[in-house]
Amino acid sequence: MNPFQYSKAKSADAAINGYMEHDNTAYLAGGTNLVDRIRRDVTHPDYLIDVSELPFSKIEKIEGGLRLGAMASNSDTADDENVKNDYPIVSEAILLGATDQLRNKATNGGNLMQRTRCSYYMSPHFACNKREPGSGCDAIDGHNRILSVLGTSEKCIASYPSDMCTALAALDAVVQIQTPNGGKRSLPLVDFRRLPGDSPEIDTNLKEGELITSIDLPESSKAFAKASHYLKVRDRHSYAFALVSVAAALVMENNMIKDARMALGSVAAKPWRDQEAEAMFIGKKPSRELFEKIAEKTMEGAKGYGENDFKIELGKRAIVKAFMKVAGLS
Amino acid sequence: MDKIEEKELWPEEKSLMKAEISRRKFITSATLAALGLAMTPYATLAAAPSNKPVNFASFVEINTTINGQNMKMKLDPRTSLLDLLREQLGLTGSKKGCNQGACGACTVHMGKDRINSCLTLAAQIDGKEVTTIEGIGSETEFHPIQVAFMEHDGYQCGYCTPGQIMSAIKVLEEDHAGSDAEIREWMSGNICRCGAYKGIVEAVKSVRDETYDKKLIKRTQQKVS
Amino acid sequence: MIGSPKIRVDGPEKVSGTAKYALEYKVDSPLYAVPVKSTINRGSVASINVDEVEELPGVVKVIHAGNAMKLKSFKNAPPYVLVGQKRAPLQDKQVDYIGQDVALVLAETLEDAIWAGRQLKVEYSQEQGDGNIYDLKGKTVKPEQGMLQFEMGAFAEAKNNSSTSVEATYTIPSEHHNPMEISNCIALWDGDRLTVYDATQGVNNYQACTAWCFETDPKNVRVISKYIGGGFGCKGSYWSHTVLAAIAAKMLDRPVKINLSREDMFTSAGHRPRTLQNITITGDQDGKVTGIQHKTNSYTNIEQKYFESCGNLTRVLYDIPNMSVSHEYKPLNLPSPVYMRAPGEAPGSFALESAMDEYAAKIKMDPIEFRLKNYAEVCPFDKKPWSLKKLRECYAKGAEIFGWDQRKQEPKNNMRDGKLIGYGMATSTYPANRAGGAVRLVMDAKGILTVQTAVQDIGTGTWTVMGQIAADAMGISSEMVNMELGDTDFPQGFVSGGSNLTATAGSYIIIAVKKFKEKLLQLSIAQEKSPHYQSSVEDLSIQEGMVESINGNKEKIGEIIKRSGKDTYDFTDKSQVGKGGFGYNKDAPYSSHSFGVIFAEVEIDPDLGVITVPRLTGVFDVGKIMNSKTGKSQLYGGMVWGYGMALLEKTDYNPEGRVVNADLAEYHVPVNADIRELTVDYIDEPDYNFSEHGGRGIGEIGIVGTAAAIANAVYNATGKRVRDLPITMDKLI
Repeated sequence: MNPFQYSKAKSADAAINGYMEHDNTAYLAGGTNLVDRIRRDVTHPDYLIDVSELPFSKIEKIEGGLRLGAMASNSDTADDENVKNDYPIVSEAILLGATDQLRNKATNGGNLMQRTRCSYYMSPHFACNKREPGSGCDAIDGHNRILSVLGTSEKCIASYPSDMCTALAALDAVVQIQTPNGGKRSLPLVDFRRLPGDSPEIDTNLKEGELITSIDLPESSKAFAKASHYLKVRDRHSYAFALVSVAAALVMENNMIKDARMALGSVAAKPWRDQEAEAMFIGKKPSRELFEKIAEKTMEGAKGYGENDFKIELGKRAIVKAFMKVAGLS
Repeated sequence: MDKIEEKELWPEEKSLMKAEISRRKFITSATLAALGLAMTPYATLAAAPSNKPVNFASFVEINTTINGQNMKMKLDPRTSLLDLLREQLGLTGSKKGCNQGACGACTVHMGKDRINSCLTLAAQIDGKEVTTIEGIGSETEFHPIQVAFMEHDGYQCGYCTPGQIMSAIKVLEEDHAGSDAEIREWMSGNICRCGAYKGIVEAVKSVRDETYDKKLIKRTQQKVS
Repeated sequence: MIGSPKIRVDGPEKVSGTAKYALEYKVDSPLYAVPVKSTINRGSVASINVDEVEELPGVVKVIHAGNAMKLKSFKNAPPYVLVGQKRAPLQDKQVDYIGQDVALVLAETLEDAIWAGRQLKVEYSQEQGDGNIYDLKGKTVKPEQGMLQFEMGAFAEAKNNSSTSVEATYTIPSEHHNPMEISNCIALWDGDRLTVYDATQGVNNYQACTAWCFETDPKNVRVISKYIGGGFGCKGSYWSHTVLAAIAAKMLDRPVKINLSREDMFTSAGHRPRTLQNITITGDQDGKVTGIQHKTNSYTNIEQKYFESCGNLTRVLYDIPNMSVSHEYKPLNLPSPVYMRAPGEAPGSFALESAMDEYAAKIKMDPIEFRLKNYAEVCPFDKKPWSLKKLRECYAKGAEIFGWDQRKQEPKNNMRDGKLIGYGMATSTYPANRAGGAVRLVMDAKGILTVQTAVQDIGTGTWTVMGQIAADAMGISSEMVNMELGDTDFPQGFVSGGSNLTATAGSYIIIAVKKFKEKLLQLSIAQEKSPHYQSSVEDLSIQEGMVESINGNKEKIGEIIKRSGKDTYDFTDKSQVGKGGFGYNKDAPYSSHSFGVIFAEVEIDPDLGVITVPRLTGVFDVGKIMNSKTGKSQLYGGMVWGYGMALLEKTDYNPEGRVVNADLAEYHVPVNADIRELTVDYIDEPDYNFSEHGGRGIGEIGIVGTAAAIANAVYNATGKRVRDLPITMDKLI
């Protein structure tokens, strides 16, 4: 690791001030991704501000929904009764990600901030526009089995592996942010992360010094608690990043679909939602044919890069499989 | 082990950034022995010093409890909890298998939870309680899961074993040992390249069901190395 | 005693975290060493910013080809100096592959050493190299070893005359051993004497190699390996980390702890090379095979000769009159491949046993019945009788345990809970190897027998099993045996590899103990105060620690020592086996191999192609099992490796020869959740024609055949024949 200074923030204001006062600063929460990246010579912060003990570790009911503190651990979030009862796919998704050791340390805010596990990004020996803008992308013609098929660019095909965020995106979660000028703002989770475009080095729409304080789940998404499922497809039966994951949720009324949510994970640089595809569910009777049509639509613009070509077909099948289960048809 | 309060385990001068390594005060092996720790490389570094300062951008002071002992230390902020344990405190039971959170060999308990010590900066254990494999069981008795691992041969080379045991303790405490499938899933954060998974699952079950061999609970003096 | 499920004697230390692995020894004032590896596959080092890095705080020295102490080259070393890479590190500026050592950075702290290593800028003058593992054809070399370019009968003629044949090509990716413990060591010199705490499968080999390159008497090099965190072949040959640590410790006159990373394990400790195997099986509709051709392409490092001998088992497994077995390899600018758990047999069995399944499917015959039709009653290639073969019994017992009769002959014809179910099987085999070695036995007045020999326990149970064997031979309880292993100060042992050690050391210990017993009894009958004074040795026996005569007189064995006036009585013995010892011995009266059968059930999600293996069953004919607890663990472990080979493991390279997935997050080995019901059984009949205790090695046979059994089950479930490992979902959807 490069030499760096470390300080533990006592308050959010102090953390943000510290961030703005120093150059090349990073917030450290659980460290399960950041420490790994520093060690691998991928990230080189000069100053680490430990935000893990800031008072954002509660999971509490708020007006309009449930607030997941940014510093609550992934484990505590998955175990929370309100999460389990009202937003069960969040809990399912978290428990299908990583391991208990990692989930105990990893925080909700940190989960949003984790970067791609693309092998070409994770090693300074390869060309990577995300790690080193302008250096090129070795992944496009390389071993890209785990990488993106949706929303890619000529500069980058990295995928975002978070299971938790895929479920949160499906349920319209909102990210609460404290800004350097003392203000607050919020961003829908689905817009929190960016597609690579011409600047794959920028992962999120967070601005310099901004700090995530919580992720809020809306009351309205509780409606999906009765019929939802998180399907994760991976090579190993545990402790592996998804090749494709699907957060699937329906609201049924008189055997017809009243409302639907669908987010895909590990197929793009952000949790993938397709509003048009979701609209196709509404007012229909659930059937394999319907889900197949929606799956086709969702993967319409997908582009494979060789080794990951199969993810297009796998994605479709995963969508159908997940919704068949949610609709009680499998 | 007796609790020993406020022992300084690391150099206490101010402005250590400019300190030459030869001038640092290191605690003596006698002090370490009193703490029940092995004499560590760092503790004896002064014996053959070079005359160059080390590359710390700054030191971090922490106050922590490891295996029931309160300790105060000054550290290079880059030091991981795992390297602190292995290279400075002589607690080599926690293993370095990947140094990236992909194997679980470094698993320790921090507070109520098991964590990967390789991905934890030592600075982050300030104010926390850490338990390593060396803190499991008592001086005279094994923890039941240690017995069960021996009885069910839940290991071969033994390198992943301390991490497996630290995980198994939590899997049992947190009630994730209901079925074989549940045990397998919750023990999947600890890779065993020798492939002793069957024995590991059996070991966890035998503690859950209290069928492990209680005759083996006494710590033996046996030592092969 | 022999065979009993004794708990590992090293268990208490392993579960307590007090077992000491190489890097865990306490040494005074160590320096931390971090190797810097080449980033080009061919060329030479032009410049390194040594001065700049040596200026960095905490850095003590940068060692490189320009200033490293000179060593004797391994190029002309004899075969017993077993090195992974003949080019000793930092001796010249030439670069042959990505990941070769080009410098070593030493610092006072681990953090500084690692960071300084990253700051080292190495400039190269680059040349055109070939590091592409994906093209194994072209400029290949055919090894001359006769056994591996083997012709018997006339395959071409058999093919022409046959009514049925199958032909297919199978590929297996490069794989890495990835033991949990990274290869690392501590080196310290005391004058001319070097001590190395290392992680090695052969302390004597590391001693010989170190002595060779430092041009010193092996007596001046002590290698200690009490605990080894897994090896699987990557810690048998000698690699550069030991040389680097020893050079640095000498040059700086301080103990050195070298710190390789997991990433370094992908370049600096060997791997299984990618292989391409083409198999043709010819025969008739009734299942009698008349000919087989098995061609293997693999690669090696440009200076090495290691290649994957996949055709080995084809000469051994079935009674086929016409055989053509050949190998070729391509020298590449890549780190050297090396032995990895069941080298040759593991990949070879995937191809051969898949091809056998293809043949059986083609003629619609039960795969076991098909194999029995071609059962080899004698060793096919040399026609020698087997020292003992119980494969037929394995098939029967395995089929019974597994419930093979539930298998559907027609593929894609078995559904359970919406999943496709498939059953598959494959035959397993591994040669029985045995070498020589020496042991020192010491008996004290308490009757405790200390056994000292320079072998090591890589997790196989050697600490425990050798004690059981010695106790059994001596007639004392195993609690009365004190094993001392893993140190070159003890009499010369042998490497833990090729599944030989239990047969090797077990046999020479038994031979030595028998002689020792005779000597003790001779001593006893010569002692006036002995109850056995002037008895005949033939009338005496030792049981449960008591020396007993036929007329019922008995005393504790330690009494003999007490009366001798000395504290202990000791004896050193050395025995050799055959001419060359290890490996195939053409003068031996028997052919000695272990056999087995693996059964697999797979469950496949028809939509997603996700594969689960609910059951794996292995039944083995491996001679006498020394310890049913540790023995089963080895067989389980081998089968878990087979699971990994079948479904997970694959090292990806870029075209220049750099590993892409050089970590445990993306190089997938099996995790606990992957392994469901695992069953192992064995015939347990001693093979006294092979070893003193009737046991054969068991470390490798578990992986052999497992990948094929799973692949064959996948075929049975889906009708899809996957010939390219690992079998991942993308190959099924």
